[in-house]
Amino acid sequence: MQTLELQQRYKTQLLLPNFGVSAQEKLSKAAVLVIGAGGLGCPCLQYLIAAGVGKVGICDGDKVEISNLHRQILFNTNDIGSMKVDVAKMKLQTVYPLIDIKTYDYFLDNSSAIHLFANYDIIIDCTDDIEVRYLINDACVLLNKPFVFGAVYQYEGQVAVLNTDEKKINLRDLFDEINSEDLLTCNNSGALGAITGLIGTMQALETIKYIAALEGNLKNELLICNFLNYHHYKIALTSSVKKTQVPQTINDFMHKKYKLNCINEYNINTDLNQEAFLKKIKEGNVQVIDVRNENEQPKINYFLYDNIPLNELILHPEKVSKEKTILLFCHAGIRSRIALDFLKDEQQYIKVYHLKGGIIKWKDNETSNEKSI
Amino acid sequence: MDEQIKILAFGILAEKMQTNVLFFSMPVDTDTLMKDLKKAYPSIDKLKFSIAINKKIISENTPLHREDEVALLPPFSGG
Repeated sequence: MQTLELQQRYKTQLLLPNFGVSAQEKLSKAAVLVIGAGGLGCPCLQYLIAAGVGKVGICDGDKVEISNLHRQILFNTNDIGSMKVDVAKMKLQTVYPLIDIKTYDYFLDNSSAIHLFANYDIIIDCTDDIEVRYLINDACVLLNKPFVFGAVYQYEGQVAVLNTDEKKINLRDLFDEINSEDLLTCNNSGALGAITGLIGTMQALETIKYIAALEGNLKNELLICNFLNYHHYKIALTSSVKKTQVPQTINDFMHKKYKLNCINEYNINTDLNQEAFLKKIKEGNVQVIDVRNENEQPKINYFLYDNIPLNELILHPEKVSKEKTILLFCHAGIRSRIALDFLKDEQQYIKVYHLKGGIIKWKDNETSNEKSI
Repeated sequence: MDEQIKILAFGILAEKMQTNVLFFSMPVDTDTLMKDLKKAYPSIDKLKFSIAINKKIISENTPLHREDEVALLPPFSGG
């Protein structure tokens, strides 16, 4: 613990038995990723950041809606229509400006799970869709990441800490594969903000207990709480003999189809026409890549770009930014499509688009525009 | 007197069965219990859930004994 300011900030939790400076330092070195900034994620994030977790990632592709406000307590009426991750970061950063908060403004899918989870020590599942929960589960098992499960049904909630050791006890040991049609979410079964708040807070608590190595962590256990009568029930989990299998390799995982309810726009439509391509360039934070060979004509002067021929891109994918939106083009849209599939499927790139029909079509448009003038 | 087994139901199962605790004539094993239970409560027939005996999750047909406590655990997904 380096500064007086830190000692003052955390002095009350430092007083706790079995906590102290060593636990605080473990928290400050930990990197935690919260998937979903909703009814569970909002309180979970607030307590993780207030407690001093050093790096916190927030992944959610949703915007704030009026129906969220009764339980998603980081947001208010003025935030309606804004990206949840942007509002969450703005508000959470004021708690402690030095905490490293990363935001990912998209819905988790196979490639983003592999890409993101590698950068974090613990994953917290604050989603509300069982299919995403299996996706998170499977990526955590493959990447050896512990994860904290939390979910609500009306006045009851469940919390578990899974995949914590070599036994790899996971969601499939608890509930074998279930379709989202078989289950109700908060939006169609009802939820009280105080109850999602309690379960989200318990997820933050279990994460803190896990990082600080405190006793009583729900490792390989499921806690079920009824918040009407305060009955609770704790169940020991064991490896199931009949479970459906987690994909064996990352490649298998990348090709597994999860029936995700929230699909990112860039997964539905990776093919951009000229107008959409230019719009993406104007939005900024892009790397535009010409995947044609160096001497191919015509040269383009409508926008700035890097020339990374397809063969070179496949040999040296590190030349492609992992932080920016990638916009690919070529002569006729075939090589750019191959590059897109390679980057998404083999290299876990997330936001990648290509110019459908290629630059030849663009040229045609230019010519016809000129003719029409 | 007929021996009975204690069953705890959670979530949508408690809602469909209209109780969170019930007692059932002693079945020989969990497969028999599930068959009898679904006959008594047809509305849970299509629901998916896990079973715990004495607070330990099971994944195969398991013999039941006097004073065992069975919990029926549906998955929750809301958040």
